[in-house]
Amino acid sequence: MLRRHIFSKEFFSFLLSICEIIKTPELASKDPTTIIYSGHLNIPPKTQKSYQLLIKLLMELMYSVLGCQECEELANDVNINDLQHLHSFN
Amino acid sequence: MSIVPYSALDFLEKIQPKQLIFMKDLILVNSNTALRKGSSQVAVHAINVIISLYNLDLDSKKIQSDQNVNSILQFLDLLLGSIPSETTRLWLSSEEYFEFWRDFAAAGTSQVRYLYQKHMIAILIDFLLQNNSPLRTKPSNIALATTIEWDSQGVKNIMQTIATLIEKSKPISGEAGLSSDGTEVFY
Repeated sequence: MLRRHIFSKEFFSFLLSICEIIKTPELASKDPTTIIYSGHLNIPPKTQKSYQLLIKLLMELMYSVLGCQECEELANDVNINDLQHLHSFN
Repeated sequence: MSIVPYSALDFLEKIQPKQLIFMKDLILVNSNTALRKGSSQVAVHAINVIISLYNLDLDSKKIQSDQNVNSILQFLDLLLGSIPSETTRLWLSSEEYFEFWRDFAAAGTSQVRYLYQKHMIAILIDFLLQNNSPLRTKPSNIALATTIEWDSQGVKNIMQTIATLIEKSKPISGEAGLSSDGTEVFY
């Protein structure tokens, strides 16, 4: 039952809302070899913590919930293209 | 992860030995394209961030005392072992898998060195040539063949990986830079 709720559009909309609330700085460089944001040391600890929590949340969602074998069928039933937004939080 | 690089360390918990096959399957085998793409992008970015953050050397010939390097090497070795058998069987869903290697190769010197040590260019060309590859001489390997669509994104990712490796290749200086037959060795 819980899984059915997770694989609902409402749940994904909720997650996206959280992602949109936490504003991330513009990464100026598109160079793939510049992997770490140059200003990362200047980010206030509290803001860093919120970014970290968001990344952890999305990682758990992908690896522990959506990725589990029992959920594969459910994941295919629902359009989870919203997951593609994940890459912007890399 | 680029903004808070230490958050990439959470990914290392996901590539512990008992979870390695699950993580590999998520990138290559899972039937959901969005999930394959997402997990591939997160994995390659987390690994690249960790390598960059700690300036890690992925030299698989050296004995590694760093647990982070060992975890990453185990994951990469397992992933690389999917070529050609699994990528042949799962060719239609392997676009995201080859995207992983494309983005990995583009990220830095340590990554390029690792791929050269593993003979990645030869592995990829062998895979593309299928049964026409000079490396496939045993009859048992005939089963390892699929129809490669040359205009597919999967092939583009493979070609970009090869191009990046060639572009970033450097001859190794000194005695180590010559193989037994006198040809130059690249990393």
